[in-house]
Amino acid sequence: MAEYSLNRLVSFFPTLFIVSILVFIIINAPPGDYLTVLANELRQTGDAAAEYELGILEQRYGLNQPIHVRYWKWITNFVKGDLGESFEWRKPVSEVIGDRLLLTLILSGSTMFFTWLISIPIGVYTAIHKDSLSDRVLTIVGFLGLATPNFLLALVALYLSAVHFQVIGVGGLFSEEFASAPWSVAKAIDLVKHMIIPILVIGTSQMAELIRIMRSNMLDILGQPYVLTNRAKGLKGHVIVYKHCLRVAINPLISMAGMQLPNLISGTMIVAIVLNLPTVGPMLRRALVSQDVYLSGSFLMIVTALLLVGNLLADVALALADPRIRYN
Amino acid sequence: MKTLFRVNRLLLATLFVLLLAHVGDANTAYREAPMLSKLVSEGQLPPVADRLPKEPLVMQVEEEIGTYGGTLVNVFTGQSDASAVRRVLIEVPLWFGQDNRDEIASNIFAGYQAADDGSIVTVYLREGLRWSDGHPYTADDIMFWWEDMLLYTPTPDQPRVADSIPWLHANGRLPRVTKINDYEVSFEWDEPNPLFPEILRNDLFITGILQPKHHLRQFHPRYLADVPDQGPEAVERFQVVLDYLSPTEKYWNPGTPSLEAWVTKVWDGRQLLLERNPYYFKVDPAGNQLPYIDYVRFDVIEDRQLANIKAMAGEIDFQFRHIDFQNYTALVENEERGNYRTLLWQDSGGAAPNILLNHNCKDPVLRELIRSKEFRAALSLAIDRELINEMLWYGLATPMQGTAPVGTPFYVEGMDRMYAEYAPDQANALLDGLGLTQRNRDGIRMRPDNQPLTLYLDLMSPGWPSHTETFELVQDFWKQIGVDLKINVSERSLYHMRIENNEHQLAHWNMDRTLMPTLDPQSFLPIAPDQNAEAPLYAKWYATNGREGEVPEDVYAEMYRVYQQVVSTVDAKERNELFKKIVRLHAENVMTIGTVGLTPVVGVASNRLRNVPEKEIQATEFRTPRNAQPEQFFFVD
Amino acid sequence: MTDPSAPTPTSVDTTKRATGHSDSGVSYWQLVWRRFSKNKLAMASLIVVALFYLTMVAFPEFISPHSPGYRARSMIEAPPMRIHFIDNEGSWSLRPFVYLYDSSRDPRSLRRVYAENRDKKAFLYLFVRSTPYRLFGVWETDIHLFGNPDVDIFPLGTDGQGRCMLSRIVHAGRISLTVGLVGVAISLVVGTIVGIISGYLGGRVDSLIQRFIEILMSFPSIPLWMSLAAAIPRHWSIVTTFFAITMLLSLINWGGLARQVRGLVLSLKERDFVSASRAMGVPTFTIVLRHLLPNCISHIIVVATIAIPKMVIGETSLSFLGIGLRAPALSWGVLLQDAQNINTIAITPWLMLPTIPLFVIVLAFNALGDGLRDAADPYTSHKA
Repeated sequence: MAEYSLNRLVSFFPTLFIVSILVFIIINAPPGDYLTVLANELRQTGDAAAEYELGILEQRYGLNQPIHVRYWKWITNFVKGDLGESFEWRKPVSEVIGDRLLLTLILSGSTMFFTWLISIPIGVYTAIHKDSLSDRVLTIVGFLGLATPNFLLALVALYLSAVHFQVIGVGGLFSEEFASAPWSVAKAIDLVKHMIIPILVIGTSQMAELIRIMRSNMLDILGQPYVLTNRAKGLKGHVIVYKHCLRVAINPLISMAGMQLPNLISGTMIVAIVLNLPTVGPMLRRALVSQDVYLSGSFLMIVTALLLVGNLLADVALALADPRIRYN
Repeated sequence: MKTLFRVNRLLLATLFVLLLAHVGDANTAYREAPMLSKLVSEGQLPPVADRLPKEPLVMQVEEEIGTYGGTLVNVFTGQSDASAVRRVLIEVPLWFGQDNRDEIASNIFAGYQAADDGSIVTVYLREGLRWSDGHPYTADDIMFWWEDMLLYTPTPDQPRVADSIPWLHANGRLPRVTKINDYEVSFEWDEPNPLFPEILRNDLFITGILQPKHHLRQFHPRYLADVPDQGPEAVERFQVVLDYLSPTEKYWNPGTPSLEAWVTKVWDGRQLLLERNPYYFKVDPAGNQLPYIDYVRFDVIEDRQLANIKAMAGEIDFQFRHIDFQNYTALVENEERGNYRTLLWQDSGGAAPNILLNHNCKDPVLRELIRSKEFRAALSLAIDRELINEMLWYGLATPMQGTAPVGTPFYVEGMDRMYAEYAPDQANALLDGLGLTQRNRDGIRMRPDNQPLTLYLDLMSPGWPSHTETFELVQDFWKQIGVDLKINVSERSLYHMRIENNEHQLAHWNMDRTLMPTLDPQSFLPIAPDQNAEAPLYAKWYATNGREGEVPEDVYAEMYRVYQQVVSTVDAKERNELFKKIVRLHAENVMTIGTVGLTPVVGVASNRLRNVPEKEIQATEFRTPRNAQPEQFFFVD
Repeated sequence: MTDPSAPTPTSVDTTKRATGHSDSGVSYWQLVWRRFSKNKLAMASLIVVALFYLTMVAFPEFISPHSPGYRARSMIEAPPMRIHFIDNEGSWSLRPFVYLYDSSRDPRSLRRVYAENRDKKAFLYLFVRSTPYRLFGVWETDIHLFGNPDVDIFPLGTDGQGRCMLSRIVHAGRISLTVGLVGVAISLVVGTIVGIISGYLGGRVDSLIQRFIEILMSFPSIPLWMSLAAAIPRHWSIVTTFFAITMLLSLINWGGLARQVRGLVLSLKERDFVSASRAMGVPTFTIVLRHLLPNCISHIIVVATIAIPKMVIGETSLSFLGIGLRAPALSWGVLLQDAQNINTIAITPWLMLPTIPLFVIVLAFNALGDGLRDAADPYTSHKA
C-alpha cells in the first residue's frame, strides 16, 4: 500500500511539471501579447496609448524576452511561492486572486450544498418510483436547467431582479455600501441575499446530472440480490431504502465531490460574468483574453494542481478500499 | 445653445497671442463646498482664496449655478479600462475653447506664445495654482518631466524616453527646454514645430507632462541619497517613476498629487472612490469653486453588458462608455422606473464603418482594380446607405461618404455626398466599363484573369457590433452588382497583424478622428501600418521615413506631398486650408468607402443630475464625456 | 477516477454475447431493439431526434419559408405572427391564416410597434414557390414547405434586420446539430482507439496514456478552449473554423471515453474467451477486432448519445464567450449570442426562441441515451 501511494506520489510531480509547460504554451498561444492586446483594445475605443508608453511597459513586464526565459522565471518563482505579478492589476497574483478565491469558495460550496440537497432526494425518489409519471416529470424538469444556456438564464434572472423586483442591487455579491467594507454580520447577511440568484442559476444547470447519477446508482443497488433478499425477508421498504441503499449509492458521489471543485471554478465562469460576481471566473476570463499570462498561468496551475491532488487522494482511497487495484 | 464648431475659424494663436480667457474678477469673494469649509474652520485647510490660483479659470455652466454635494456613480471594467476614468477627469495643459472649440484655450496652462516661425513656444503657468496636496505647481514640475523623466536614463544602453516621442521632434531634433521663471517655460527647436500648441491640448499626445516633482522625487534615483543614479538598482527605481508618464497611474495610487477635479481616495479592485480636490483651479461664474459634486465613484463591473442593466435599474448617475445604442429602446422605456434620462449624443465620426480597400493588395489583378477610381466608385454607389441607417441606426445616423462630416472644422462642401447616393445601375455601368462584363452562373463578375470577382473582408472581432451587421448588408448590395463579398472574422490582434503584413484585401475601421486631422491625419492619410488597411505599405513608408514599405503612387503620392506642406505651415488658417485639399482628394477619389457617419451615441444621466448637456458631440479628440465638463454637474434633491 | 454515471463493465454481460449463443436464440442486437422499442419515452426521443436531423440538417431550405439572409425592410423586429383559424367575424377557416402587420414607431423610444390588421388576411399554403435554392447543393428548386406566395409571413417574428427567425433557427440547426455529431464521432474514434491500446497493452504504455489523459482532463475546459480558440487563425473560412471548433470541443471529450473503454478492455482481457484466443495464438489485432471492439460497442453508443447534447450546448457556450462561431456564420450559438442583450429580453424576447429547439434536442438525446443504456443491458432485469 505504502509503495503504491509512493509510486503515485512520484508520478505526481512530473505530471505537474508537464502541465506547467502546457499551461504556459497554451496561454501564450494566441497571437500578440498583453501589450498588443491592450493597445489594440484602446485603439478601438479611441483611447490609443502613445507608442512610448507601450515601450516603457514592454520593458517593465519583460515581454521582450523569449518565451523559455519567461517560462523559467515564472516556474522557478512559482515553486518558491511567488506567483508573479499581474500585468493588468499591477499587483502580485496571490493578492489579486486572494479575496476573489474566498468568495468563489463560499459560492461554490453553497451551490454544491444546494444542488445536493435537492438532487439527492429527487434521485432517490425517481429511482424508487421508476417510470412513474412523477419520475418523468422530475427528470424533464431537471433537464430544463441543463438544456437552457446558462448565460441566457442568468441574463433573464438579472433583468427580472434588476428591473422588476428591485430587492437587491443589480448582480454582484454585495450591495455598494458593503463592497469595500470589512467583514461583519450585516455584510454576511448581504452576501447571502445576493447569492440566491447565482446559486439558483448555477445550481439548476448541475442538478440534472446529479439526479441522473443518483438515480442510476440507486437503481443499481436496489437491483442487488441482497437488497431483494432483505425485501423478501419483510424488512419495511423505506427502512432498506434510507438506511442502507442511500449510504451505498452516495459513496461514489462523495468521491466525485473532491474533483468538482476546479470544475466549479471554471464552470461558473460564464454565470459569474453575466451576474457580475466578483469571483475568480470573470477575472480568469479577462486574464486569458488580455494575455495577462502570469495571472492566468498561475491561476490555472493552482486549479490543475488541486485537481491532481484530488485525483491522487481518490486513487489512494480507492486502493485502500479495494486491494485488487494496486496490482493492476 | 452654444455652437459646437465654427467653420469660419479664428486666426489661431500663431502671432504673439497670450490666451488668458475668462479671467476671474479679483474682487470676487470665492465660495467653497461645505465639506471644505468645515476643514477650513478646523484649521486643516487654508481658506479658499488661498487655495485657488491668482486667476482661476471661470467655467461656464450648462444650465444654472449648482449646489455642492453628492456622489457621482459610474461603472468601468477595471484597471485596464482606465480610459473610462480618464475621460471623466483628465485635465490637459490647454483645452478647447468654451465658446468656440476651434480656439486653443487656457486650462492648466494660462496660455502660450509661439514665435513667428513656430520654432519657439513659451508656455505660461497659472500663478498660485496648486497640486491637490497644496504644493505649488511651477516650472520646476515641467523641468522634472523633461529632465528627470524624458531625458534621464539609468543605464547608458537604455534609450531616453524623449527619443521615442515623435511629436517632440522637429525635423528629427529635440527642443531645448528652458525654465525662464517659476511660471514660464520655453521650448525651442532648430526648426519650426507649428503643431506644438495643438499637441498641448490633445490628451492622446501630450499625456504625462503634468508631473508632481515634489512627490515623484521620492522614487527617483537621481534624488535618492542611498541609490546610485546609474546601474541596475537605478533601472528598477526609475521604472516606478516612468509609470507616472501614463496619466492614469495616479488613479491607482491614493496620495498621488493631482490637478484634476477629483483625487483618488480608495482603490481596492472593486471600487475607485475619488474625493474633491480642495485646490481645483476652476470656479463657476458666481465664484463657487468647482467641482460641485463631492465624490466620484467608479464601480467595477465584470462585463460591459452590466452597465446597461445597472443604468436601467437606476444604479448609475452618469455613463456613456459601455452603454450600447442597441439598448436604446429598452433604456427609454425604463426611464421612469430607474429615475434617469436617456441622452442621445452624436458621434463626430465620418464613417462607421469606413470600408478600406487595400491599395497595396498582394493579388495583382485585384490591386489593379482597387487602384482604379471607377471600381471604388462603383462599390460605393452600390451601397444603400439609407437602408443601413434605417435598419441599424433607427434613422438617426447620416448616410454619407467617409469624410469630415458637415458641421466639423474640416468639412469640405459636397464631399459627404461624393458617390454616396444609391445608384446600382450606375455602379453596374462603371464595372461594365472596366471590362468586367463576363459573369459566372451565380451572377458574379469574372476578373480579367477569369477568376470570379470575390473580395475577402477581414472583420475584426471583438469589434463593433454595427460593423458586422453593416457588412452583412453590404454583402447583399454588392451581390446585386455581381461582386462577391466574403467575410472572414479575425481575432483583434490577428486582425492588426494581418494588416501590418499586408495579407488582407478589405478591412474596416471607424473613421473616428476628423476634428484635428492636421495633427492626427490617420482618418484620411495612411500613417499607421497596422491600422490604415487602405494602404499599409504606404503607411509603413511614411512611418519609417521611406526605409521600408512602398513609395506612394497616384493620388496618395499627392496626398502625402500636401501633408508635408501642412506640417511645416506655421499659419494655422493656411495650414487648415491646405489640409482640406487632402480631404478633397480623399473623398473625390473615393480612397475609402464610407457608409453612415454622425452616428447616435447613447448615455444615461440620473434625473437628479443637472447641468448635463442634452446634446453634445462625442469625439476622441474631446475625450467625451470630458467635453461635457463633469466638474460643473450637480445634484438636486 | 471513474465516472460513476457510466455503467460498470460488469453490467454488460459480455460472455454470452461474445460467445455468440444466447438462451432465446435471438441475437444481442435484436434483444436490444426489442427492449428499446418498448420504452415509449426513448422511442419518442428517437423520433424527435430523427425529425430534427431530417428537417434541419437535410432539408432546412425546404422547411423554412425564407432564406436565412432574406431581409424584409418594413418588418424589422416584428413579433411572431399568430396563426389563426377563426377570423374576427367568428367564421372558421380550415386553412390557417395570419393577419398582416401595420407598423408604426414610437417617436420617443423608437420602438417599432406592430399591430395585426384585421382586414389583411394571408393564408398559409403548402408547397409554395418562393426563394430559389439548391437542394443538397445540387437540384435547383423554389418550393418551400409552407408560406404565402404573395406576402412575407414570419411565424416566429423577425430580427433586427427583418430576417425570418424561423428560417434562421432552422438553418442554424444545420451547424449546431452537426457540431454534435462530428465532434462526438471524432472523440469516439480517438477515445476508442486509445482506450483499447491502453487497456490491452497495459504496463508502461497504459500508465503513460493515463497520465496524459489525466493532464488533459485536469485542465479546466473553458480556459483551454479560450486559449486554443484564440490561437485558431481566424481568417479561416467558416467551414474550417467550424471544424476547428468541433475539434476543440472533442478534445476534452475523448479522454473520458478512452478511460471508460480502457476499463472495459481491462476486465474483458481476463475473460476466458480472450485468454483462450491468446493462448491459441490469435494475433492481437484480430482479438481486438473480433472480441474487444464488439463488446465495447454498446457502451460506446450510449456514451456517444449522452455526449452529443453536451457538444451542442458547448457550441453555444463558446459563442457566448466570443470564441465560437461568429456572425455571419449561422448556428444556435450565434443566434443566442445576438440575443444576449437587455434589449432582447425587454423588447424582443422572441429572439431567444433558439433556446427551444436547443432544449428539445438536449432532452431528446438524453432520453434516447437513457433508453439505449437500459436496452443495451438486456440480460439483467433489475432495471426493467
